[in-house]
Amino acid sequence: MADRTSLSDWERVASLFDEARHLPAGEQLSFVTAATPDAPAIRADVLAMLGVADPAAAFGIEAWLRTQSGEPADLPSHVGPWRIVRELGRGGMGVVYLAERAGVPFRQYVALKVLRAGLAGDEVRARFERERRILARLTHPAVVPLIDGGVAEDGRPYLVMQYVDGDTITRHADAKRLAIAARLRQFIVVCRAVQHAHAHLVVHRDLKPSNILVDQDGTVRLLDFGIAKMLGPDDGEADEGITREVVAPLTPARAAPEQLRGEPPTIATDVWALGVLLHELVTGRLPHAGGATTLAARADEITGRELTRLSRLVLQPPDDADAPSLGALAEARATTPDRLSRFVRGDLETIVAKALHPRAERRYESVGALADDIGAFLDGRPIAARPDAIGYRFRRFVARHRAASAAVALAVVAVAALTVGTLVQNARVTRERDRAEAEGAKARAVADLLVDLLRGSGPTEVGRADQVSVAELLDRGARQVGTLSGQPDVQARLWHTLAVIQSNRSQVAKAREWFERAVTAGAHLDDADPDRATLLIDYAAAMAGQLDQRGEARDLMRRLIARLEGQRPASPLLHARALHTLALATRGAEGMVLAERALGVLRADEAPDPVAVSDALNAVGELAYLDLNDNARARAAWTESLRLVEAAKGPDHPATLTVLGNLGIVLEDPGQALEAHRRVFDARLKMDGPDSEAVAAAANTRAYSLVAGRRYAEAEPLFAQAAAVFARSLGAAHRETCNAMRNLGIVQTMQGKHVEGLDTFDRLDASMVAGKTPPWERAGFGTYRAQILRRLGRLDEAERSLRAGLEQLRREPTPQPYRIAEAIVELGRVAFERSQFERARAWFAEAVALRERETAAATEAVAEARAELGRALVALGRHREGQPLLEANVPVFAGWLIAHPGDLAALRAALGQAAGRVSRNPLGRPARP
Amino acid sequence: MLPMSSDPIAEALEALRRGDAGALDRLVPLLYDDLRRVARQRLQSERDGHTLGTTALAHEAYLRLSTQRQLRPVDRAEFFAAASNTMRRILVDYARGRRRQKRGAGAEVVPIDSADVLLDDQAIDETLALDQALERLEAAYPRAARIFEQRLFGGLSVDEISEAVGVSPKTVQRDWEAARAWLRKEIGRDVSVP
Repeated sequence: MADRTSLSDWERVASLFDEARHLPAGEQLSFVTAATPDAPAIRADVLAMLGVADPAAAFGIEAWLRTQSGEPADLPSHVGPWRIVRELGRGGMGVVYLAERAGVPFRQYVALKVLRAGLAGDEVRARFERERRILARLTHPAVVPLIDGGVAEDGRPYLVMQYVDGDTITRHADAKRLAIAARLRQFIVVCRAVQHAHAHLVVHRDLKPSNILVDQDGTVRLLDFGIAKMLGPDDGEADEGITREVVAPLTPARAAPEQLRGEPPTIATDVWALGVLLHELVTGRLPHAGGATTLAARADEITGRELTRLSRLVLQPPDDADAPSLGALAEARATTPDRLSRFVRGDLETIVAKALHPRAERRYESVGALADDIGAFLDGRPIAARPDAIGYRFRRFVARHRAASAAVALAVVAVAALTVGTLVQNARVTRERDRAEAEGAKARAVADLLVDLLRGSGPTEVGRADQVSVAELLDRGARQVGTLSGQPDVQARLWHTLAVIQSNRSQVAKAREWFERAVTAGAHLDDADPDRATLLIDYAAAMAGQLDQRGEARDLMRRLIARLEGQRPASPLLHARALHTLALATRGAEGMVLAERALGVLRADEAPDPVAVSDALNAVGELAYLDLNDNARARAAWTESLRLVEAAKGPDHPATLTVLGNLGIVLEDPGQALEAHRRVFDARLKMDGPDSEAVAAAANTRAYSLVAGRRYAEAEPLFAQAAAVFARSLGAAHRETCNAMRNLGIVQTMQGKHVEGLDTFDRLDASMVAGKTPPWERAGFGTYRAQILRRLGRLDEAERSLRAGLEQLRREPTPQPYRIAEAIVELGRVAFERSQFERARAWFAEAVALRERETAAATEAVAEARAELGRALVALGRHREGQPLLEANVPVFAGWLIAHPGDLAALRAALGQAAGRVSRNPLGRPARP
Repeated sequence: MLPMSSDPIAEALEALRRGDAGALDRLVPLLYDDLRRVARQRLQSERDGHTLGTTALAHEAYLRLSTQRQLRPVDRAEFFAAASNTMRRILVDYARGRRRQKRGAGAEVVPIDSADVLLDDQAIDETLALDQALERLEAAYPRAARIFEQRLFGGLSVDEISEAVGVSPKTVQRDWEAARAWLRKEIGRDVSVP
């Protein structure tokens, strides 16, 4: 009973009304008008439904609207609230009018640009509006500000800019016969303006002389920022399968090769365009002159041929008879061809070649870097011929960290009496990188931006680039990210990236703060959104590494898992990651069940993702080793994890090295373990240089494997190196530094170097006091210091320190039994040395009870307490009770790599002849990500 | 030949589903009496006197009807639509009757009930104005009118309309809002579901 026309009319009415009523009242008219050029009845209905008066007839533009051609036949009298004065010009993008605001007493001339492209579709229109708002934030003296913009009554977008009465930069320079140096100074101004735009995430995309005007005063002004993007496909949303209806304007002779190939523009695209401008300003000609007639051919022309050196080009007569002669070109530059050639030879042509490198990644990493080099050239300073500026270094840093170098995350939490050390590093960072890679252009743009932001703009900063610490860089980046409000998606992503880096550097508080900001910035996203879910998982993984934050990590992951499981189809990768992160926050047998579930989720897939499976196995290994004390299971999990990740990423990939380091801890053969850790160390050293946190982490691990071979003397310098690097980059009171120092002190005292060991622990304690480390943390390390005091015979000091320490340890918000047990064993030994055997027995009995209760306690640690209890019982004359304890436990304790020879000797003396050596290799405790 | 049903309502629905547009005209009178009876019973027991407080009532009424008649699921959509339309006619007839009565023309008061408070003067005018505007909407945009009618007079939920009309609930909601706005511009006041 309904006819189709009416139905489809109603669709239009209802959908237009629905969209328009959410718009600000002032925008409804232009929106509806733009959408209904063909249907005045629908327009009238919708406007009436909105309660908006339909003034179409009142505008002179109606006549224009009805003209059949794309261009108006007549000058419109008005566009929006602007009165048209005259046409200024027309080009590929549209028509530019001189206009003034109607109905105001003073005269304000503006340039009003009506763009050629019609805004078909609501999405295009919405994007135009979004872009316009971003552009409105650009406030650089050389960027011509956008005053207004909207959709004209005929549906075409228009932009209103300040009217600049000037000439193009190239014509101006020639007319004024500007020397190259003066041209370069103007060029720097252009670069700084573009740099400002990049910092606001705006890429110009169509930089060319006609968009760069210079007025009579010589003031440079840039037009049309981001307009190309407004009209181009939205990179973030572009679906490759969909024909792009709107082709981004581009000037083939000036377009970068990647642009010609249809890739999305980036900062590098603008660097290329500026290189073209620079080339033109200097030589008067475009680079890569050629006869290509298609975009693809033009791209090949550029990439296939080397750029003619500028010093030679300015001496080559132009092929084109109409082109200005060499003499005329030089004259316009107040010089001669020969002098011009000499002037540009060397540095300047190197700069141009770098800006015009066919491969985007080989160009200047930012526009600021290009400007800096021009500045250096003008000042006669050395230019950055090699890309070793801070931005490049930072890019490498970011790449490394995002990529993998969980080595920074190192993890050496040598535990339970150095029950050992380390490493389960986590490959989640690697996943992060892979995801970013897959996102391609978007991620590149963000990385570029990050580099750009961190690069700073003052030339003075380049000089001290090498002194800028990573921490400073990150803080500077954070400040910059803070200014990007209004772009929550980008902000969330940047905070996320920075937080992961901080987390990998074990900067717990900073990481947490930045994760919180990322979570807040992205609060508008659904938790199941891949970006958002990854952020939440990374955040939870960081918290899972902190005892007191595990509860929060669990809550976060349970919520996310519930959300993900409600998704159809659920993403197995995200689901599995969330599960194994929950596993690491849950720990123990319960955690193991969750980790197994993560594996199950992945393996349910037809072709399970090998890297994801490897990640989950890594978590299984950590739980088996650390919590369940099941070395065989850990070894099996890590072996399989290593096989998968090595096949997928190669032997030297950081993720591979991470798992290899973990596996090394549980390898039974000390020689194999040593070899594994040597391989990790060497690869890290090659990758990151001797002063990197990653190498320090690897040094720490390698030192552990040396300890495993009882090669304490060789381990000592490695621990010292790790401690020094960590102190420099993370701070003297940082947990990693403290652990490395503690390890250093332990291997010193294992060699009988008690004085050196005491000095190490004294320095450590001083740093912790200065760093305001909580007293219970200090007390944990204080136990080792007291041990040395006892060996030096300073029993009073040792006891005082241990008793005060024990009190602190018991006050810890989440008391750690193994630390408390350590202090108690030590108190027992002090009592024993004082011949207070009953008191010693009581302490040891308490330690046995504590360690037996703690399922995660190393067997050797339990044996230590039992053996000591046996020794005290024997001393009390209770041989029948003491001897079996000694017999059963001394051999086990002796297998402990950090069983001090002095303590062992005392026990063996008690045991008489019953001592034996059993070799085990329980060196490291894996560290948590 | 299709087997004839002994129930005229079921028969009319069957015809409606076969595409016999005239079936609706046969259906409405059949429903009319039943619906009016239910409406009257309800209004007598719960005399809240609210203008057009009929939506919930109508809904209940024809739900009861459809249960009694063991409607097959495929009939529900048509039945809902027809019932909504019927309820509209009941109310409009009643308003017309009330108006004639006021003018002294006397006679045919639609015997919906004895509750004279049901529609006051303003409500009578509004009901009739709305009916006319709805006719215009029907002429311009039939689907919009159908959705509006079912929501306001039929008291159907968005989901039920979605099922009856065969569009998504989101579209129903959008169309309802748009139809309301369209009618608002026609009659100068807002119409909302109580």
